[in-house]
Amino acid sequence: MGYFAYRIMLSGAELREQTIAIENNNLLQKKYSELETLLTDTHQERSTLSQYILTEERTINFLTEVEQIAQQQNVQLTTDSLTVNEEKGKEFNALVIKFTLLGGESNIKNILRTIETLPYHSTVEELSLIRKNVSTEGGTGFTGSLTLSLSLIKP
Amino acid sequence: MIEKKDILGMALHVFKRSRGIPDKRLLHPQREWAIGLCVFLMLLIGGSVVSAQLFVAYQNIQVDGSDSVAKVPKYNKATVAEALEKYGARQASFDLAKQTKAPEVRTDTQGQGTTTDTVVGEGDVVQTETAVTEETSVPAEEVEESEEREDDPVSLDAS
Repeated sequence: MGYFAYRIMLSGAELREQTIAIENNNLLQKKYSELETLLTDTHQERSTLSQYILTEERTINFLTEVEQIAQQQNVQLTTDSLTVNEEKGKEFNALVIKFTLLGGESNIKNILRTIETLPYHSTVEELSLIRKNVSTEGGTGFTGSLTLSLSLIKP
Repeated sequence: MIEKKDILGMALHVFKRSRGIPDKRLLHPQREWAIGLCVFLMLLIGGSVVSAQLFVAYQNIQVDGSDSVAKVPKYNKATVAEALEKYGARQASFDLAKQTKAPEVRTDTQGQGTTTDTVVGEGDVVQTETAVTEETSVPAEEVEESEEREDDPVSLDAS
């Protein structure tokens, strides 16, 4: 009788392990289906939102776009520096770009307005303008520097 | 020293107690049955108790799977909607700002001044002539018009 009780206890322990494994598997399947539903429902929103955050692959396209905007506004724009600051503990890195601007007054104003409304998560860190008699296509106007900081998705 | 009369006395004592008839029976049914039934009942009760405990233990196997199973991240729909609205408006402002046409500029090479043609309205052209400028340094994030240049018709609005 003791032997039978011992065998029953062994089988019972095995039963417990299998029951736990089955329960965990069921829970995992449930959470997977929940996650799959969530991903499907929010796909459109997430893809739209991701367009507003810069990635390393799109950095060059962004710089090209800014230069095209400057050309349209008859502003000489030069990219002085481009650095990526790794932000530990945060979800994004910071891409800091320094530009030098040269152009007419209204052209400078237009391009600043355009840069301020860039559809990216960004801030104008620093801006300085100097009025001077510069012989450029824009005639008399301003020269200055602009520091722009954009959020960059971590690789 | 034990003598014969002592031995006889012990024998008489034994036989007197059993009335002289020795107990020749080896089995006592009632006694044996009582002993057997008691042992059986004890085994039955003990086995039942152990079986009941095992049954209860393995009937309610509780699984605490909250820690072992991966958690689904929470999706803050309200925050996402707010962000989409904000950046949608920003995109619209950006597109509008891009469409703003830059004024065409001609430089006058004979004189020191420059002439700027500004297109306003529907094809009306307004000519403004700027005087000689001097270099003025301004603090960051703010452009202030120099007080020395009183005749400078160009004014900059601090926005």
